[in-house]
Amino acid sequence: MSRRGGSMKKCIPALVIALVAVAARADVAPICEAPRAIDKYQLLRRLSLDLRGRIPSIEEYQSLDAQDFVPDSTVPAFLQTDDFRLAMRRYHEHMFWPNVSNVRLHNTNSGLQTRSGIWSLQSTGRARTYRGALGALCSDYEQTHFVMLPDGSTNYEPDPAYVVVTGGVKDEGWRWVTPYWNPSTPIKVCAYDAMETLTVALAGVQTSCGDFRTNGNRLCGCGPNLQFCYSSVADTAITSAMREQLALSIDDLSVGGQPYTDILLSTKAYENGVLSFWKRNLATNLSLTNTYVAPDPEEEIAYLDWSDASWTQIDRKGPHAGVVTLPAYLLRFQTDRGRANRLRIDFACEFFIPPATLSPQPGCDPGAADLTQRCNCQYCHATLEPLAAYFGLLSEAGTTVTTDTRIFPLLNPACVSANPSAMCSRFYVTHADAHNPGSLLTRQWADVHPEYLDHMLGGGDVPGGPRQWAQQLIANGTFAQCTVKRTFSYFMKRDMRVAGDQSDELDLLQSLADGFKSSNYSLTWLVQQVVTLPEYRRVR
Amino acid sequence: MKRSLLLSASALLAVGCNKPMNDGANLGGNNPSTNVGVSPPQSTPPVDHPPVTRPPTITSASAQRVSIAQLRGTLPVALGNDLSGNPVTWIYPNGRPGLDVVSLTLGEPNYIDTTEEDLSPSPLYLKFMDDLARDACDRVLRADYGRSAAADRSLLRFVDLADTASTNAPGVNHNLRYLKLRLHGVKIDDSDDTTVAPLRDLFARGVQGSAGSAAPTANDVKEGWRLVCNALLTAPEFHIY
Repeated sequence: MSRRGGSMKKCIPALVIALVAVAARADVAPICEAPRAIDKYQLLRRLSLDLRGRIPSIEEYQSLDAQDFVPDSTVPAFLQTDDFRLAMRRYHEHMFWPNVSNVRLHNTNSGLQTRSGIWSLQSTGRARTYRGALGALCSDYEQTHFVMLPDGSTNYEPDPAYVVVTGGVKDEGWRWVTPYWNPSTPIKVCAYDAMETLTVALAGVQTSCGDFRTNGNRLCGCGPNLQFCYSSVADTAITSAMREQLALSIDDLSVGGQPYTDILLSTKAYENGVLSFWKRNLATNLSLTNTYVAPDPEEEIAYLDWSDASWTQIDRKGPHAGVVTLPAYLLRFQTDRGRANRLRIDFACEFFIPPATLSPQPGCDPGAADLTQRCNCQYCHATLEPLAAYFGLLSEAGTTVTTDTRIFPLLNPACVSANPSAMCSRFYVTHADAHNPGSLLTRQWADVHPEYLDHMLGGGDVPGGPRQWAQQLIANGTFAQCTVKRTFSYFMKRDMRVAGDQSDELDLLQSLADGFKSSNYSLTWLVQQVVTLPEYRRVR
Repeated sequence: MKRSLLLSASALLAVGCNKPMNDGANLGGNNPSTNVGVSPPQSTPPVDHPPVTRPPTITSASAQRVSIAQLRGTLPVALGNDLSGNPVTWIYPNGRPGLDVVSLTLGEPNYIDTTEEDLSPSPLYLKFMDDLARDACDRVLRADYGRSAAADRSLLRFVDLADTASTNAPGVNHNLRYLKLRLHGVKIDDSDDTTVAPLRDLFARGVQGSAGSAAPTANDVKEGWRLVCNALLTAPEFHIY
């Protein structure tokens, strides 16, 4: 594997040779020279660029004048720097692609907009619920009269006696609100949209106005400080925090001394004010056609204000497994197949590459609904489907653990319909003639492939979910070997020769993998070993 | 600068001498039951291509172009601070850091539009590095020319601001050796004036070109150092490691 790009050609001394040749108008010398050792200054430069992401200072270069070699203490010193932490973040971002800034966490029902300096909900439907006409907004005057509740408090519902009604359409004013995302700057918000009702009765149950199911209730607005609604500022802050959350987990492995296996096994995660606030107030105001990000059942959520920039460690428990169940991963790779494929690439170093010529497997069915049985799908899906089942408890295009059977019954016959609800379309088999109609989609084929349930749920002392798979990869040595290969490729800028007719580095791979395991999967140990290999100190 | 670009472009053409890095499929691999082969396994040369002998086994690391992130980290170390104490870097005409402005253009992944960083020393990369060098060198020289004490300067540590190759040849040579170490990590022996001769010649031509037939002033000398700075920041030794 190339370090980052796949096609860069590697004979860089040719650059220098060409430079000399052109400058001197000399004949071009043979380009592919034998490897040669680099001197101590170039070695320091290479180490610094790789481990710190920058060249050495002139003082660091000059300190080598009195040394025969780059001191042994240099690499350990570099590994303790903040620059190394940042370099390892970048290395892992290449693995996880954790930019989720394009993910929509909500729809117009909970999204705020501003027009002429006045904020309102984007939803034309909610505008009609409040005012009686699709998309009708408030007018530009301050609403000062509100309904008093029986207990003397107010939810800031505009007093009907002070709302203009024209042709059956209500037209209230705005009121000043301090938004949670910027408490220092009050903003004008249409009064209906800014109502502070906390709960309303929904099918006889008091339900938060921050729950998407209450979006059609005329008494539900955005809540105190608009806590149930998103702004573009909030969207950006939340998705940025997700990326940082993943990066903090990497920090624990690179400079925090945690074993690298935690990247797949840890149930710990970090939350700041933004993520905490989002989970507590906004995450349930979701859209079934966008992302399903409601908190997990009994999820531990830090209690932090939106503006609290500190990060607190929480235990996510459940089927959570390192970074691959963090929101940034789950929302970046939104399908179970995509999640499994990425994990397989990153930690098993295995890729699905179909052959140029497809050969249907014997006895296959070209129209089989079960992809493991469909002709020509044996190259990928026969392997991928069972692996995808490891993620079966985590909502696709979402983050939620779907174990609450009140919300996600295993079988929901009502979902078998020509016009299924959004919830049914999203999570259930809705076609009457499909295999297991009414079943949760992730369990549709569990009767034919019982291993899917085992992968999802585990059994006995064996955990379910991606942690089960991770434990297998760790136990059989695949995880260690793959990590060695990746690390080697990153620093050597070439693949290890461990496959096919170029396998002279197999012993080195095994030796490093064994040592990595013996070091309790210390990433810094592995990095130090690789950059002190003789190969690293040569170039061609 | 044209020469520098020409050299870089020529170097670029020479890059393709060896086998390409593969696409990562090699990472996986010891378990044939879980891997799908790639067909054909090896490309066949064109019919009129002479026989190709297998390249020797590589027993070293490969070289690579620096990434955009590495350039971000490197420029302040290489060029020091401006007179306001801010790290010298490339600033785009719109006032934003140039490397941020052209980040996507230069292939730095944002993990939405692009997911893999293109580290090829492409003509586009060379063009923007030329832009970078012109802007950053101007900034560092303005800072250096605002500092009277040589020890406080980033680039001109061993010369006075009006020194030319004629008036202070040892100082100019010393400074060029210093710059090769500072910017390229290339150590040149104190007694070696030959290795830096091309740079010294470039410096002298820059000074002469600016001064014309008049006696060179500090401003003319600054133009000489500008050429040297540009040449060093666009040289392969700065971008490859």
